[in-house]
This record gives sequence, structure tokens and C-alpha cells, in this order.
Amino acid sequence: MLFSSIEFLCGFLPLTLLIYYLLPWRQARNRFLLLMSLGFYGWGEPLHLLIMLACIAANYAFGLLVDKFKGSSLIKPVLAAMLLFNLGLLGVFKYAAFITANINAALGLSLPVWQTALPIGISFFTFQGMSYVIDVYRGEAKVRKNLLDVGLYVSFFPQLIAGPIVRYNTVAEEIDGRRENWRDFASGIDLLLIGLGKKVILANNFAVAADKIFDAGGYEEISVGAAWLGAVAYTLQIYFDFGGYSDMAIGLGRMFGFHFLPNFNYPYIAGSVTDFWRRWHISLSSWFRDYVYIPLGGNRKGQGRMVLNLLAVWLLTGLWHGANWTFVAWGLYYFCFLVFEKLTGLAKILPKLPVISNLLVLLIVIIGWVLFRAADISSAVAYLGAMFGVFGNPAVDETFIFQLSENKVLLVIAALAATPVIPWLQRKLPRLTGNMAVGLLRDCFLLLVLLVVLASLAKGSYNPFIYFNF
Amino acid sequence: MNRPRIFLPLAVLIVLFVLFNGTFLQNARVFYDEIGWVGANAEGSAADKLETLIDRWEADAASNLLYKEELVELDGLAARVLYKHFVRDTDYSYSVVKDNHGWLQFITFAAKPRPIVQNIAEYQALGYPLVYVQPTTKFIEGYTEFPATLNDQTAANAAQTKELLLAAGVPYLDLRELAEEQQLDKEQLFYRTDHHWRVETAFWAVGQTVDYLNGQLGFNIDADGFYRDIENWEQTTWQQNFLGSQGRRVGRFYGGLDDFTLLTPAFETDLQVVIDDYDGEGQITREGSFNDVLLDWDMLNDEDVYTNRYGAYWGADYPTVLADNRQNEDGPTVLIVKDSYSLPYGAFLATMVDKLYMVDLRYYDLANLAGYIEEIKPDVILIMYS
Repeated sequence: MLFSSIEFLCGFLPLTLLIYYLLPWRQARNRFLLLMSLGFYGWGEPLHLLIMLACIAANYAFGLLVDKFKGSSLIKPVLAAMLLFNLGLLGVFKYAAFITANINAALGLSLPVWQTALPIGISFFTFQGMSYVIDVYRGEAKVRKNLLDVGLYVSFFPQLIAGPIVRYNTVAEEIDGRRENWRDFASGIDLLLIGLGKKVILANNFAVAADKIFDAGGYEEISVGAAWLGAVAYTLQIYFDFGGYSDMAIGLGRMFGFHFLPNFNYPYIAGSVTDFWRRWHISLSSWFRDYVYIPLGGNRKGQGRMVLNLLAVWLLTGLWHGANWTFVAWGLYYFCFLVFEKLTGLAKILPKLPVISNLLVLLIVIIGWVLFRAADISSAVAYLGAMFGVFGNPAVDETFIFQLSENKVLLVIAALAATPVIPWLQRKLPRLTGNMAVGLLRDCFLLLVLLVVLASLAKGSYNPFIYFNF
Repeated sequence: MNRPRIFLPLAVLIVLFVLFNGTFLQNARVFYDEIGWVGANAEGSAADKLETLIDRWEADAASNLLYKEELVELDGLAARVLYKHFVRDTDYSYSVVKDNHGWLQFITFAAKPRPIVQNIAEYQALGYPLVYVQPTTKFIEGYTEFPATLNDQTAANAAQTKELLLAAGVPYLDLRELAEEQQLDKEQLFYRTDHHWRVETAFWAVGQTVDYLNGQLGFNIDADGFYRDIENWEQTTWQQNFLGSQGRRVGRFYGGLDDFTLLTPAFETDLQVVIDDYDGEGQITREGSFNDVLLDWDMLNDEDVYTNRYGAYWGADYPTVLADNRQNEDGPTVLIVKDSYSLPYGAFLATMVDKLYMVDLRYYDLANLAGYIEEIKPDVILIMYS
């Protein structure tokens, strides 16, 4: 089930809110949320629900074992088993086909390639499962004796299928100790609407343009303008899609009293690649930092080791996004820039040249997204070639003219939405904050966003009876 | 300390709960019945059936969404504000394009000539005079322009058909050329929001057809031009009350509304109409004046702009129909092989001939057409089916 769907907005969410707030006890509310979260996941993935339940049960058990064997010699085998289970689950469903196909290609074998549907959200709920066990092991949170509490943490519907990756220690106390209040509820609604707007109004429209250009192929013939427009459209699509979803997740969490950490912080204004990765998918980069990079030694064991640790992190980051060499290449692409910035100190110098550095980072990011979006490495290279006119591509063509014309207003809106215009205005004009008229205007705008989103969803499912055929 | 915000959270909750009630609670029976339907009809494992049930519930939620038309209108308004010239539809072939004149259009995709055209020799062999009538088209070559990359194939498809027919020696009446020669106002040929020609254009087309039949095939239809004189017809115009087929997909705010003009005889008429219903078993017979038997007044009197006013002539497309003009029993018998363009066209022509038959190949099996023609023995067959 998607947040941006009629069945969620007009069905699941009102029903869940109504019953949740009618239930008087914390435990009843938690059990109800768990039930609804499992229903949410099962709605889209009835069979894969079993896999998530297995993940919950296994990590619950590992948590108990870790708590029991802390300090003993058995702790390492338990942790190893936990990693094997969770990464094995990922490996089987997400990477088995990729690994097998590549072994076959490399060694000329004909091993059977096991294709299976990827359970939605598996990259998120396995990471959350591991986060729970590791946080218990580190003493950053207490073990949960009740399986259902672990179930709620792992499967809580706002962040279940697309994050943010909620670290257990950040919400451990809120499972039992949260206090829902109107202020949180109201700010949760704000975020939900902002996220919906980003996803439905911006991302979905840019997706049409990006898909049209990327999927058409023939990169030797398309214009430079069209290639750049497709890349920019995808750059905006992925930010507003993912960022919008994160806003919705955080907003929904807040409506039920949970406080998730921000996942995006205006990444497209970053002044360095290092800065970009402090602003983009923060929950993932921090997860890898805290659970992979730092345990490997981080930057505390010399430059050489730091580079290797970064390589491990960025290979894993690339692979986490998908089982394709394009994602590996994308991860390595950022590895190169990050290492370069670290070794040269550029990460500290670049932000002092804000406009130039921002444009440079944007260029790096856009090129990176082409790698990320392309079907394979050769397509990525060809597309990048078109962007720089390598094939003698014309400057503009009909595709560029049409897509630019259709999206010109949205591009302006997107440019504003991708930059912290509102926080800047609030700093420059502090009297605006708390001003009733401004607040009302803002509320009306967000209400309009909700209605336009609902309108878009209605249109997307609209197939009126045509009285006459043609 | 800031005051707690009331307006937005409350407004959002009201909107969501109103939609929840109107879409789900008030249609709970629909959702409940799906369980029984899936149990009885769906195949596969329990998991497959569950997925089918979920798919059907999602479709029901979409189709029962409260205020759906109003929301589609809002979406159309948003598309207009965003300067969109292309509004994608759930069915891509019904996506709406706004052309260079602000008219709404569907994209015509490349298509082969209709089977009746491809097999025209079979119908020529029956020995009845046969004329292909090419109506005016909403996409006008040299006048209409689509946004870049959207290529309409109306003219190309028509050219293919014309080539086949001329090669077969079939008389070809090109109303597009006549409209150009007579410098008809292109703005007034079609509805802005519907894919059909205006009723007035259909009336003009009948006049041109009769001229052609009289001049080229030796008929003597409406010799004094009485029925073809629009002064002898009453014109009733409703302003801004028609949202056409294209407009209904995007709402009134995207492309506006059309005026709708009804043409009815200002002279006496006496017709018997026989309509064969879709299943081939039912038959509707009506007798009376033009206004009584050929018009569906519900479609005209309904104030909802979504009502398909164009369908007021005949009420709908049917497999076969007959209009027997009891005031012109010496007139010819005409068969029109039609699509929906012939609804007003056939109605007007019915006042000028003895018997007007119409067969709609979208609902009538082409394999039976030759037999039908032999049965009714028309004096001329008009094919206006593009």
C-alpha cells in the first residue's frame, strides 16, 4: 500500500487514527499499531508478510540471546548468526540472481539463476532488525522481552517500506513512553502534506519526463538538451520521491507520538560531496557509519585503513540500493570523490566558495544519478555521452522542447522546494514566524496541496464511461 | 508559547474522514461482496485469491471515491495552472492534448483502414451504389498543431483509406476539401471539448452529401432544397452547458465548456423508428414526430454538463436502426454504415428520404453486413465509418 493512494489516505489512515485514539491504554495502542502495520504490509505483499514475520521473530530471539550472553564467549557466534540471518535473507531475495548470473558470466558456468520477487522494504526491515540487536549488544537500549514490541519497532508502517531506517536506540523509549500531543500531531500533518506534495505533484511528474527520455534509448541521436533535461528530471524525481516519502513517514510517525530523525536536509545545496552525504538519506549513511565504518576503525587507524573502510562502506552502500553493477559503480563513484575530498582537505575548502562548489557538487550528483538510473553500465556511459554531445548530438530536439514546455512551471517550483527558502525567510523576517495571517496562508496552501494530491490520485484512477466509441 | 494550531489539522481530518465515510463506509456492501465474488470466481491459491481481492478492493476504492468528478476537475485546473498541454489518462489512448487553438484532442494513432474498406470489393459486388463519405476531422492539416513529439495520424490514416477506395473505384466524398473550399469557419466545425463535429456541421455535411448524390448519382433528394435550408430548422442553443468526451476526462477547468445547439425541424414530420437493441433480440419501435422519436430529451434537459448532449440524437449508437419517413414514401432508401458521427447526420437525412437505415459496425458483425444489405436493398450505401 502506498501513502499516496486512495486506499491509504481515505481508508487506512482515518481508520487507524480513529481506532488508535479511541484505545485507552498504551499496550492496546501498540498492539493495534502492530496489527495495522502487518495489515499494511500484507496488503501489498501477502506472501512476503511471512518473511517479515520471520525477520521479526529471529531478531527478537537474537536480542534475547545477545542480552543473555553479553560478555561471554558465545556473544560473537550469536552476533555472527544474527548477521548471517539478516544478510542471508537480503542475499537470497535481493542478490542471489545477480551473484549467480555474474558467476555464470565470469566462469562460463550454467548455474540455475533463481529469480524471485523482491519483498518490498526488505532492505529496510532487515537493517532495522540488525539495528535492534546491535543496539542491545552495545547497551544503547534495553532488550525487549515482548516479541510484539520488537514487531512494532520493525514493522511500524510509516517507515516500513521506504524508511527512514529508524535506529532502535532513537525510539526505544517511545515504544512505551511516548506521549501523543496535539502539537506533534499538527506538525505530523504538516510533514505528511509536504511529503505528499513532493511525491505526487513533483516527483510523479518528473518521473514521466525522466522515463520518457531514459527509456526511449537511442542516446546517440537525442539532443544534449533532452539528455540533460532527463538527467535533471530524474535528479528531482528521486529527491522528491524519496524525500517526500521520508517526510510522510516522519509525519505519520509523529501523528502517533514517535519522533523519527530527519532523513534529508536540502541535499542539493551541498557545498561538497561530503556535505551532500550528510544531507542525503541520512539514516542510511549514518547506519553504515555507526555499524560498519566506525566498527572497522573509521579514520582512527591511519589513512590507508580509512580508505579501505570507506571502500567497504561505499561498496555496501551501492549494493544496498540494488543488485546491479550500476549501483556498485555509483557507490564507487562517490567513494572516489569522498576519498579525494578527505585526502585533499577539499571538504573543508569547498564550502567557502558556495556557488561554485554547489554547482560542482550538483554536476557530480546529476552524473551520479545517471549511473544510478541507467539499466546497465553501457547505457549509462552512452547517456552521459549524449549529455556532453559526444555523438554529435544536436543541441535541442522536439523531446527537449516538449518536456521543457510541459514542465517549466514545475521546474521553478522544484527549484524553490529543493532549497531552504522558507527557513531562510523565517530567519530574515522573524516577525513572520507566529504571525497569524502568515500561518493561515501557510495552512491554506498545505490544505490546497492535499486537495491537489487527492485530485491527482482521483485522475490517476479515473476511467469514465464513454458514451460512444469512435 | 505558540498557540496550538487548529485549522489545518482539523481541516485535514475532516477531509480524510468525509472521504473515508463516503468512499468506504457508505459502500461497505460493495467491498464486502467482493469477498464472495473472489471466493466464487477467482482461481489459484489462497494467496492468489487474496491478491485478487486486494486488487478488486483497490479498484472499488478508486471507482467509489467520493467527489471523484470534482477532484478530477481540480486536477484539470492544476494541469492548466502548470501549463500542461498533455494530460495523461489511465488509458493512454484517451490522454488529452490541448492543441494550438486551445481545443482538446485525442491523439489518433496509426491504424490500418477498416475491414469494410479493405474488403470493399465484396460490397461493390452486391451491385448497390456505394459512396464513401470522409467527414471533416478535428485535427485539421495546416491548422491544428500538437505539442512537439505528439504526432497525430488522422490525415495519414484517412489518406490510406482514400487511396484504397479510389483504387477500387469507389466514389469518394471528401467533406474536408469541401469545408476548405467553402471556407467554413474552422473554429466552429467541432466542439472544443468533444471529439465529434458540431450538430451544425453535421447538418451542413448532409447538405453536401445530398448535393453529391443528386449531382453525381442522379438522385432527386430534396429537389427544392427545403430540408437543407437551415432557416427551416429551429435552433435552440444552450450556452456553456456541454462538457464533451475529451473534457469529461480532464474536467471543465482545463478546456472550458461548449455551447450546444440543437437543430429540430420547424416543419411537420412523421416518422417510425425501429431500433435493434444490442443483444439482437430486443427491438424498440417509436412513432411520431422527429422531436418525439429521434431525440432523447433527458440528455438535453439534464443540467449536468457531464451529460453527453451530442448523444441526444437517437439516444445512443445501436447495432441497426431504421427511420421510416412516412411523409416521403417515394423517396430513396439509404443505408449508412456509421460511427457516432452519423447520429445527427442520419437524423437530418431521415427527413429527406423514405427509409434511412443505419448499421454500426462497432456493434454489428461485419460478417452479416452483406446479408443485411441484400435484405433491405438500399438505393445507395453511404459509408461514413472512420
